[in-house]
Amino acid sequence: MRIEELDHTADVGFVVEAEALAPLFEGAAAGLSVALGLSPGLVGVEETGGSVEPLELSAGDLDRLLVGWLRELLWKVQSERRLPRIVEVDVNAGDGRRPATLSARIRWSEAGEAPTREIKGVTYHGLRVERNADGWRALVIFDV
Amino acid sequence: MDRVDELKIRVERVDDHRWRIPRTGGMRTEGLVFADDGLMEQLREDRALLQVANVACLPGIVGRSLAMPDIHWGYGFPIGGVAAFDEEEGVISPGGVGYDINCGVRLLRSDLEERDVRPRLGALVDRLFEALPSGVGARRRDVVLGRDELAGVLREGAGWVVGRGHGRPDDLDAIESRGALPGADPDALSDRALRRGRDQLGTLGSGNHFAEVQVVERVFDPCAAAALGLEEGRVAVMIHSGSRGLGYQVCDDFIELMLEAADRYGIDLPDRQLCCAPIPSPEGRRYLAAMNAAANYAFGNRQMMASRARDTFAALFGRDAAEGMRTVYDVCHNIAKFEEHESDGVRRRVCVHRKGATRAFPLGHPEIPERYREVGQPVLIPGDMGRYSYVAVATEAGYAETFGSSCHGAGRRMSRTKARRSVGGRDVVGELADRGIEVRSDTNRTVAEEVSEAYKDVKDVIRVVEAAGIGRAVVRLRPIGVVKG
Repeated sequence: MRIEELDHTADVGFVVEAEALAPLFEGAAAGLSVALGLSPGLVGVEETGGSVEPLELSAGDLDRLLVGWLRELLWKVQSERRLPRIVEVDVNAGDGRRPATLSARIRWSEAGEAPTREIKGVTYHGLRVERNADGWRALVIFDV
Repeated sequence: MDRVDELKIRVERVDDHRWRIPRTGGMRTEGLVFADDGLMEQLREDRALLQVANVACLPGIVGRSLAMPDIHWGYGFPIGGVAAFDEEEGVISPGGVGYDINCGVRLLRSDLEERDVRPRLGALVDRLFEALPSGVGARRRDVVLGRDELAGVLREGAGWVVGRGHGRPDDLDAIESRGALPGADPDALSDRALRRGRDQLGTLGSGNHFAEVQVVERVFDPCAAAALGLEEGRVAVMIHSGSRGLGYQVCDDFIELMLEAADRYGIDLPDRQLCCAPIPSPEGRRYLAAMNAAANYAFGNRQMMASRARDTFAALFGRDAAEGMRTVYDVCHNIAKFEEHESDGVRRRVCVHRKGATRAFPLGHPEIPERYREVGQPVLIPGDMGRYSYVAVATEAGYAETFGSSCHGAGRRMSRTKARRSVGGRDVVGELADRGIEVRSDTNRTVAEEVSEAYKDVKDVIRVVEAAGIGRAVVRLRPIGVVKG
């Protein structure tokens, strides 16, 4: 999985690439974390404390599923002041008739780092989840 | 409908300060960019021109898709973008307003001179930093609104705040739309939006939001300056902030709604962030009701901060000093408003979207305060924390050409990443202190990202505004104290 920061004049963003959808969405969460000024290690960290909560999302397509995923994480971080550690995540692309779905288990804790940047929103500008030669690629731009 | 081909954005010079983007592909009208050669050179490395062209594709657009001289790459609409849509045939787009609904600027003037403030400048900026919570997720502990109180702010805006003793009735005379847009409906907001608004009234926020203590450095138009109460050497306070988390949540909530609506109404979107619905549709009306409520929250937010700023000055310099702190003006620069304008010889009611652009009504216009009707509406144009800001007034020629709009600031020329790299290990706060500018910020990151070289020189933007005849500089202000999130 690879994450590269985007050079956007007014806002911040990233490109994430991974071999499959689940690590792609985990990587996007890490990209969000970096954009917030937090450590990128949201994935697979074995920790105790806090509470593990399920998160189920569905959307018409992968683009909207990705936005929904990042928005839920952002809401909890910025408004509920809780920090996530992703225990596991599973993503299904859907097929036009069936929606794209995400199922995750996330450990939420009160303690830890505080974000050093405020993100106003996860935008659709230029957003695209698409296959490439190595698996999957997504571009995300945040309004800051 | 053919989309605009990103690789083929053609720009034609109209004159030294105007550039046309001819209709191509799915564009329903042409684009018009206000820029000189220098600003246009910077624009060619930016994708903002494509965004001007994309906006021109939206249904019901009246006149041209416009770009003010501080234009830069945003999302959906460019920052500095202006577009008007027919009230019946056109669309309303949350992307044409932005996440920070009614982000805007308030300017207060005072009778104090720099020499009155200098000896206590450090203490003043320290106290403002305390009085105006800044930083990521800034909240107030002393002002937490109950449901009914929040509904009051959402309906009445700055008037609600003044009514509770935070400010003066004459503040309302000097706020765009008297600090409240009609048609606001708190019930149009989600629970999440309401939750976020409970404890953020009177907070600065983060990023490029700021409060500055400034000095009127130069007067260009003595007559207009006198009408605005601005005199060379006098101290002023400028506050830049918006609707905070409540506004961001409203935008988030309605973007999803509008994506579905655009699909349902068969609107082809060149960029999903331009998602929209017909203005008369249920979705369009609901967004307008929520947007107006969030806009009123922002008016209330700046009013609360202005009141706190006055209290801070009173504590340090005495009640008389605070009494002299009159609101010069308060403008929105992310909003959609219904206004009457003439286009192609037809006068009609349109919905003017200003995304990083400011309303600019000329002298005599009935919507500007009576005391300004002989000079024109003040246009507040912040620069950056190391150089200067401007106050301008509108012109009649500009009003006709721009749906009564002007620029909103300097506009970024460098990404945040590049800005941090260019700063490296420099002590920017120390450098500014050496130049007599006291800065307080929640994080060093913000200071690095907001460094002067990250922004266009606002003087260049003003030069184009004046040369194009769409505005006239009144005063220039320089910062001496800065509070940033």
